[in-house]
Amino acid sequence: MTRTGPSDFTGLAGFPFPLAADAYRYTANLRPAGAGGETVTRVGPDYAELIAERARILRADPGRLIRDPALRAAEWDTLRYLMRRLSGEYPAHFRYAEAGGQARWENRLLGTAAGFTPGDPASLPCGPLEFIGRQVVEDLVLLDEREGHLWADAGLVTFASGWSFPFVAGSSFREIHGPVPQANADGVFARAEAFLLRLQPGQAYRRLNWAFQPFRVLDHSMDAAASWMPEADAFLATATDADIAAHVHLRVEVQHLIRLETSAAVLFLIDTRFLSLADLATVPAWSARVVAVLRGLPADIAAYKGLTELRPRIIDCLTRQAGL
Amino acid sequence: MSARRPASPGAPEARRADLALVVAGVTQLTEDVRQLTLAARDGGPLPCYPPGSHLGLRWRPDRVNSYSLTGDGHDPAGYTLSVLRTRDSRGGSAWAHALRPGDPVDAVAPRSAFPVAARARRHLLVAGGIGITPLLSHARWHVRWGADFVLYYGFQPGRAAHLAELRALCGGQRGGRLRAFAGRDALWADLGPALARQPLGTQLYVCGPLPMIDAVTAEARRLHWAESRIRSEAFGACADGPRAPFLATLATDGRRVAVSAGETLLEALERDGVPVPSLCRSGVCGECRTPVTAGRVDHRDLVLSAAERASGDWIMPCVSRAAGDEVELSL
Amino acid sequence: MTDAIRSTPQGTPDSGAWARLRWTSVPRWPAPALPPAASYLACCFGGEGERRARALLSGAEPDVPVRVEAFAGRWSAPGDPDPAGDAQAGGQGATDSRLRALFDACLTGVRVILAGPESVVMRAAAVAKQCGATSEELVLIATEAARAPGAAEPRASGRDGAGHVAGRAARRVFCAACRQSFDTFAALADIVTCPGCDGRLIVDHRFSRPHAAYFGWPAGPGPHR
Repeated sequence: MTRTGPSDFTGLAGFPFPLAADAYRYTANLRPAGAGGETVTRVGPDYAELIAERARILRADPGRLIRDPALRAAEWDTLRYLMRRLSGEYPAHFRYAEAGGQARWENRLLGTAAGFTPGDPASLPCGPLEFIGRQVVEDLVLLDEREGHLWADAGLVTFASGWSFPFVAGSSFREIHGPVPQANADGVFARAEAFLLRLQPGQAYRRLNWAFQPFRVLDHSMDAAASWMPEADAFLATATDADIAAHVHLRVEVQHLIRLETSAAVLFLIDTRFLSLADLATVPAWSARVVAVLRGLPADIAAYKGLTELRPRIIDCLTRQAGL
Repeated sequence: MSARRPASPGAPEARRADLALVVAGVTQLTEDVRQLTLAARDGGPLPCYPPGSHLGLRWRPDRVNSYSLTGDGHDPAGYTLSVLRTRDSRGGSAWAHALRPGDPVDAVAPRSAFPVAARARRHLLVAGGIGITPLLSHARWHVRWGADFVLYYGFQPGRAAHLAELRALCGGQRGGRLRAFAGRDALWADLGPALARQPLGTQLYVCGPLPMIDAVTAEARRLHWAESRIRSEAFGACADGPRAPFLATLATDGRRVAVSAGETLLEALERDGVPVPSLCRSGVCGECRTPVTAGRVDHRDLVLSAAERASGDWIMPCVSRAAGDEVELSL
Repeated sequence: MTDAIRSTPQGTPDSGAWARLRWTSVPRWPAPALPPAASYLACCFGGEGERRARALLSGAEPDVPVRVEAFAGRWSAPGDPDPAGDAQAGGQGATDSRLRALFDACLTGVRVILAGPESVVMRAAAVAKQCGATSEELVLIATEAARAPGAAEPRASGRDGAGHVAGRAARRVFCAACRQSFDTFAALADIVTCPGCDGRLIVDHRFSRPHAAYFGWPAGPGPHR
């Protein structure tokens, strides 16, 4: 459980560093997908490991997959969207073709192939969301628009951080983001939701979320709290400076928000990435930025982000290690 | 492992702001209604769309007229629209009726403004005249996904576009999902009582001439249908009202733009070099939505909901004006 | 989505950090108003719930049909005594089955009044939504929130008049480890024990309407920091 492996197989150059300025505000920080040349899906050297981890979690806890009969069309929309994305962004690994109402999908990384009839549940071994969800590293949440708001009705989430998808499934966007300090007073989430509601089918946007956690644990959900929380609590209470330097990780979520093309549902993709404090310390510009942001973080936002105990320790560690 | 931009056609990147189309077919459906089929000029695939979407045809460099797509949006080989020939002042429908196969057409990618409510347990579709077009798209969707729906279609005798197609799609006149009526009175005789006995969870969709939409939605409200259960799409330009001159102040730099009685707020802003995105210029597409920071608004568009109007936070400058002497915009 | 390791605020409900948070997911209870309707269905849980619902319905237009259904003040779970035989085989108990039968018979234009203790009303509202009702069609009355100011706890509080049920009250708490909710009597930020796994849980301010329960945040073995 106490994993201290390398931050990211793709190396620091490709890492999605989330802090663009020294003063941090809780904003929606949305920008069009692909604006910086990034892909919407990510398939890296860790693909097989993450797919296997997802399968392990689902085997132990199938309730991380939540379906809704009202969102059948959105599930098929999601499957087709991701198959086209994957085959377009990684053509060496995936192939997708449609002709005459039939589709063919090849996943060369997993060594699988499937022919199916889009829209016909009997032609797939499981539901469309699960079928494609088991072949991507991103968490998937489907949001339905009704009563002037967005509702997170279905999804497959195995790598949540500090929340439980089974708990929030079926809640509205506002209810889920409700308890965020300052943000509601500023109307940030109301504006974010209004923005999402105006998205036209086919449009995709990207944003980044970040947090720090004591160990490199992917499944940091409240559903799995028994497996990581006791160690995390013990760590926070007893960690030495060496422990902090060795074990704390920056956790970044690269999120994509897509208005699907035929169902008009909003698809939320979450890709989780780690950067160890040790590796972070080797990039002076990033270290300095993190220190500046943490120093200036208002107390209630720090508390909301679970940084009350970690913040001074991280600042201390980075200022010493990076010689700031 | 390297990734590159998607090359597969039909991938979301293929969707551009403007589509290069060509007229692939023209069919006269009724005396006044002509069906156009448009394909991609390069022969490639077209973007998919949700039911109820509309396609904006750029019939002049600065004019876009939108028409509902009648297909169901899954991998369309072509975009089908049905255009009613009207005596509208700007001539867009006349231009559409003059199109011939092989003519190039520039279009704005499909926009969804009249979607299906996924969670509704039943869908009650009410179409008047050419308002059948988006609801034909909805009906195809419901047939595809096996949803519970019923379609009321009222038309002028001899002017029922798509009637045969609908009969085949909806499984026959009696006991099927289509209830077609020649004439408004016949439609009301059946629809009126039906509005009063739909099960909880039914969603109402109305499309047609403005007076018809007003009448049906007013009746639904009189019967206390919840506001979120009622969806409508209006065709044609908004009714214009009296125009008085007013002042528009730009919040960012305090600049003041005088809007005369002879021009719209949008035209005045453009004249003064203030860029505001716009598309339909007739209050139906929502593209020119602009935040209001002060002053009351005389709303004349067909986009903002009742709640949005009441908030006073938005204006559609292509048709709406200040209710008083002045309005301040977040521009 | 929250991005916190631990985002339970410090201190008691009225202390600084807590008070600054805007609880958009905690149920709020403005004074109920009767909306116009084509018909009314009132499901009343307990005598106080029925009294409050009838008081509200006294403002109804005379020609509008009104149906009042009285339920026990507690939710009837599968296996509970079911003298009226409402429970469906394989269903969620008598209360759930009876509500579904009532909602399935409703027409558009109905407004459904649900009155009773907060925890029961929110469960009934979740069932109503599963049966196709929207928020606009529901009028929810929590009897705890109806007491006069100065009365014994629990009471509603809040500057904007739409208070939440403060203090100790009957609440449903969701245990993420068990993925089940249980009934308890507690205030927000209290620590309760899950009957399923004996886990100590803090009654969090996050509320799920589909589960009709407050999130039970794991408290850990020692005193909560």
